[in-house]
Amino acid sequence: MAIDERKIIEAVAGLGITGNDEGLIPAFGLYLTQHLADYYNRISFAMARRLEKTPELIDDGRTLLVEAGHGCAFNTFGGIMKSAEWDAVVRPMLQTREDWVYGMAAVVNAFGWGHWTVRDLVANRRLVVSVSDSYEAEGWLRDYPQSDRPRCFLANGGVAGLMNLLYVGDITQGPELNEAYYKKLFRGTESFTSTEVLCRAMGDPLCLFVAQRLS
Amino acid sequence: MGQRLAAIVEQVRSRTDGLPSVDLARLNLKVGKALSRLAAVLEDDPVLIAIAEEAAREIISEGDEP
Amino acid sequence: MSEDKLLFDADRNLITMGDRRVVFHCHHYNLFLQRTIEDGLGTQDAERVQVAAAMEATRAMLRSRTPVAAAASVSQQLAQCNRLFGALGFGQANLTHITPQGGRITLTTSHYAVGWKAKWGVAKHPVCYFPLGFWMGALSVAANVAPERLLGRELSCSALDAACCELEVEVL
Repeated sequence: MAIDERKIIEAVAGLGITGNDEGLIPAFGLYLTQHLADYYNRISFAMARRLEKTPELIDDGRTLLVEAGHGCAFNTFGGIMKSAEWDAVVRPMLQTREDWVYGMAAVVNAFGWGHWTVRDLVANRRLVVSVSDSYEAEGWLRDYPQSDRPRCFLANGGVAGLMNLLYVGDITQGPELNEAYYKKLFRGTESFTSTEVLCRAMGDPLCLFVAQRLS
Repeated sequence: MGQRLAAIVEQVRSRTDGLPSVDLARLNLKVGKALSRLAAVLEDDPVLIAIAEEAAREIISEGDEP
Repeated sequence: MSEDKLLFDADRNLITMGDRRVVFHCHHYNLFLQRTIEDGLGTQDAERVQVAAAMEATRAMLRSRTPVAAAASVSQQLAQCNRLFGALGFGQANLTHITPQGGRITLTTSHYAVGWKAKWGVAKHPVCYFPLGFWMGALSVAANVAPERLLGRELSCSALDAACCELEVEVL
């Protein structure tokens, strides 16, 4: 069975995710929020712009902003791929490990992050994802001059995280998502890292990410 | 040259439960200098050492769940 | 008064409230990002930047959504903001002691405080920057007060094991 992205998006959007009586959204082993994109952009870009006044610290700031995306992928993507909802809606469509990548990208397309498209997937080697309407890049373009560097920190970490969950670890077996497992996935010699090679914030037509192994 | 600073960097890099790249990036931002890359060429300035020690203590004392 | 609704454009994966984008994120991301901003800007500037950003984003969202009926009182508007605050997963607020002239807001639950403790244990300082900015922004819009006239601070925070989070908003 092919991945039916439309059906997945409708199912996720139809979950009716909203705050409970305590104003919290516990789901997938997490506390979720439906948050204001402007907030994330302002605080992330404020820090990045401040650090750009001290060039030796630019990479450190970027490392941490992308690391936030790694943690997001590990916990949110991982939590979803272990959930009963995944088993009910997405898993029946999955035949290969690669299908898991397409299935999770379809779920992401109900998060409000802009539209993710898997452009190329070479099993265990490379993932290329484009994002249109990235909230990070579009937020940059709205409020700041055209950038000389990519600005989609969250998406960049997310793309790498997807590969690490499938090809470094094995999320298909429902592992415990703990600190040791995170280190294995994101700090091992086999870990994937992602590069944003095109970004709307730099004037490119879309944002494009390539995840490959470091070594 | 920067022996004490280099020792602080190593202390952060080698902490048992840490993620070295994250911990060192945090150290650099908290200190306001790329200490992890420059410690060996920086002077052991007492003010910088005090700031670095405080930052290292904070990083090492915090949990590091991803 | 009409209730706030999120709109979802399934073709472009855009969720909007008014003309502002809304995105799903979990406490791991929210708290790691908050700590990162503190590392990068220092505690004082990080607090200022995050409260200001929350206020700016909240004001922009509230001002662009379906207009609240002109007859709605400040308290009615704040009550609507409270339903939105809870629906978005930020927590539960008690607005008994807030007026157009300021006052106190008690968060019986706060996503940021609950999330911080779940992720890292007891915090070393209050962590509810976003909620503080949200409620300063909400009061500013509801009471039609210039945001520059508002001062806010978190008096106690459940991330430090207090029973609840207490926010104070002063109108200058």
